[in-house]
Amino acid sequence: MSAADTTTPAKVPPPRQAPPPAPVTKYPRRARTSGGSATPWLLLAPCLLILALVLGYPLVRLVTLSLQKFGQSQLWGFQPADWVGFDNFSGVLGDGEFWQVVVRTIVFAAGSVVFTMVLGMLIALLLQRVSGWVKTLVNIVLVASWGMPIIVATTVFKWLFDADYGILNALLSKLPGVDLIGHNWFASGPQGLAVIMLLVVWGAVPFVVITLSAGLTQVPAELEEAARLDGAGSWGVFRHVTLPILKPIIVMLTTLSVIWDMGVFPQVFVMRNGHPEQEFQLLTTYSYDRAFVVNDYAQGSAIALITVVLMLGVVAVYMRQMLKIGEVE
Amino acid sequence: MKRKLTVAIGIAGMMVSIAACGGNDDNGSSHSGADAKELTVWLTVDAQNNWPDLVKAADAAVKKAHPGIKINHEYYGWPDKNTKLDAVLATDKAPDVVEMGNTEMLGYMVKGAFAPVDAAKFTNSAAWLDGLKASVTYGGKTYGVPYYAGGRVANWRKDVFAAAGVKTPPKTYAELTAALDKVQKKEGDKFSAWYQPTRDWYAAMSFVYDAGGSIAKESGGQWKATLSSPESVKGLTAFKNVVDKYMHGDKTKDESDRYIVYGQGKSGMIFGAAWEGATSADPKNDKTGKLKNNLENFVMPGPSGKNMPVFLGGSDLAIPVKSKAQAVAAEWINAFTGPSGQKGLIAKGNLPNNKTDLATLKSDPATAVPATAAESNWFVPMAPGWGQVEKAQVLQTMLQNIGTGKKSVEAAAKEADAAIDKVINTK
Repeated sequence: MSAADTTTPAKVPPPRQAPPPAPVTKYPRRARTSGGSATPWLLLAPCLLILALVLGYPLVRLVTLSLQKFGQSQLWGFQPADWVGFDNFSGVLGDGEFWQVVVRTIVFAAGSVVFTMVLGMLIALLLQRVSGWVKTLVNIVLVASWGMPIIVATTVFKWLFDADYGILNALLSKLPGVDLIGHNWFASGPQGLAVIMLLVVWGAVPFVVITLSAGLTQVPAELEEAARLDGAGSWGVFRHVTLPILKPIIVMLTTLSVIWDMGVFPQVFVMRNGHPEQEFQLLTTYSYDRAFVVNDYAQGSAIALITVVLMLGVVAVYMRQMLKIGEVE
Repeated sequence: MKRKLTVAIGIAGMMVSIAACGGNDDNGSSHSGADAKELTVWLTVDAQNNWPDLVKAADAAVKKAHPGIKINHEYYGWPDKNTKLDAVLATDKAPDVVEMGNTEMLGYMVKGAFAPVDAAKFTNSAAWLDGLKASVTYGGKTYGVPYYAGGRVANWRKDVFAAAGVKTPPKTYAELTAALDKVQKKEGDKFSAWYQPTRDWYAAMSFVYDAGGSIAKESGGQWKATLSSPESVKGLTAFKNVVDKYMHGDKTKDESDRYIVYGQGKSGMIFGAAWEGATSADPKNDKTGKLKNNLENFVMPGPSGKNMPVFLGGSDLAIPVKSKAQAVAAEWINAFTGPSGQKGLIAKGNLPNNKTDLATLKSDPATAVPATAAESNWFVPMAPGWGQVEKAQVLQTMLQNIGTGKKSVEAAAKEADAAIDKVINTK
């Protein structure tokens, strides 16, 4: 949280030094030290350098790969990697299966995000109204489930939903008129993906709840009271007071969730024993499959890049929100 | 204050994003300085689970000849082994010996990933089994050494079948299905009379070859998939009938955990590798304690009236071309696949890599079944792109679609043919 404390005291130096509105200067610009325009960059340098190394280099490799013919022989250095321009992209975009995967990914991510946000909001609101010890208990549970490694959680879910030995089928079959013993949740794509969505939502809700709870503490009580005196019901208070104040956080959480849920990989991968069937393929697993299973590294890279382009819109919304908050009025 | 908090959340979220993006690359093996005083051997978990003593013996033999040499062993599972191998072959830390399934060799030989070996240096090379010998030969050169072969047999629970009134192993397919019907009727539909995993393509293709079909055929140097030919469809339909009638387990599974499922005591028979029955009866896997004295292998009859053609699976050992200790690696392989090694492998229910030992197996009642079953066999198309077909799990996908009833046999076979044709001719 100290990150926040170091970002806001940006007020200490005088806010952004606009050059005095002087008439056009005659002498060429010189680097001035008075304004210290180089200082922030110097301070940022180590971080930028690490980012360039850790993110920049792989990204450059990814782009070059996607423009080459690159399979096993090229990987092992037995053949040179030839440039093929946009062949990989046209190959991917012209493939009907790819578009199925895209649609499936978007539907899956949208569903996960909506469920996560709604459920998270409800639990956060609930937490405001319960007694102290319940609140503590729920928070402990949330943090525990958030802290559980994805692979472990996925394995547990896999067993819960197991066709032959799953506790869930056994419990559901206890209901009158239900016989689900031996029912296979993963025999059909939509059902299996629903199970995986449940797992994703289960893992994502804690972060949303904790964040929204923190946000809710910032809603001034006097505003709520004023709204009530003006005759607003609880829905009205939520709609006209709470939501507007929480909006920046909600926008950010939603965009983050979209980014995360579009990037779901381990849940699907582990749930389907490392070989997701065709109807379980999301963009991430599909790209992995292309690259590492069918050994067409170039096409895998192309798919990954197309995914990035798809995500750019979401990232842009997120960044805008960040900058808007960060702006000093 | 509020703004601070929101910014903090935003930044924290971003950090988590970045962390989340970078958290899933699995490193290959990491070795500290590979000098020639070191040998790295990659075997699959079969060796680790079933014959670790043979590995130790081979190590001892090599250490005797090269005092002070350090031998590293890594064991990997079949499904993901090649992904790991591909990655490590791109580095300069390649292992010195790798175990390859005999169906996997070709793609690597074609691309020149393995070093050629001198067959004459290996003890049994003159008598190697034809099927295995073919799998390590490309362009007239030898690129690997047969390690062992695996026959496939039927294995049943005598007690279960006896309870349903069947006392002797079925000799024909009609007898077999009649016996299975009795068992299925008696035990109810929470029990699999024949536990036959849907994705087990080795079994399914046995039905295909039995019916006179095939996976793919070559003409004029071009391979073409033939799964949708009338004969192949007939075989696939016979397989589907088995899954529909006698298999009541999870229909999205493959054969990799069959021995565990069989050990849980809810199945009457299996058709799988010769070692699976014995492994199921191991106290670790035998959950009911009833398998131990009741398991029996028999030769699988085929619907055509002949013995079912079985997949002659097997493993080869190869030396990556990037290995820095190729000579020592060859010595280790020879120590491991030599006569004493073969004895140990036979004792575990495998077939030897050579005809001399195989002949002795057939005369011994304990090993006669797998040896006899192996006489009628089939092998995958030796096409340059076959490895891709296996990796993309085309056959498994087709079988799952057939087994779960998602697609008709014809539609699934046509789809598989199209997928196979796409890659089977590419190097």
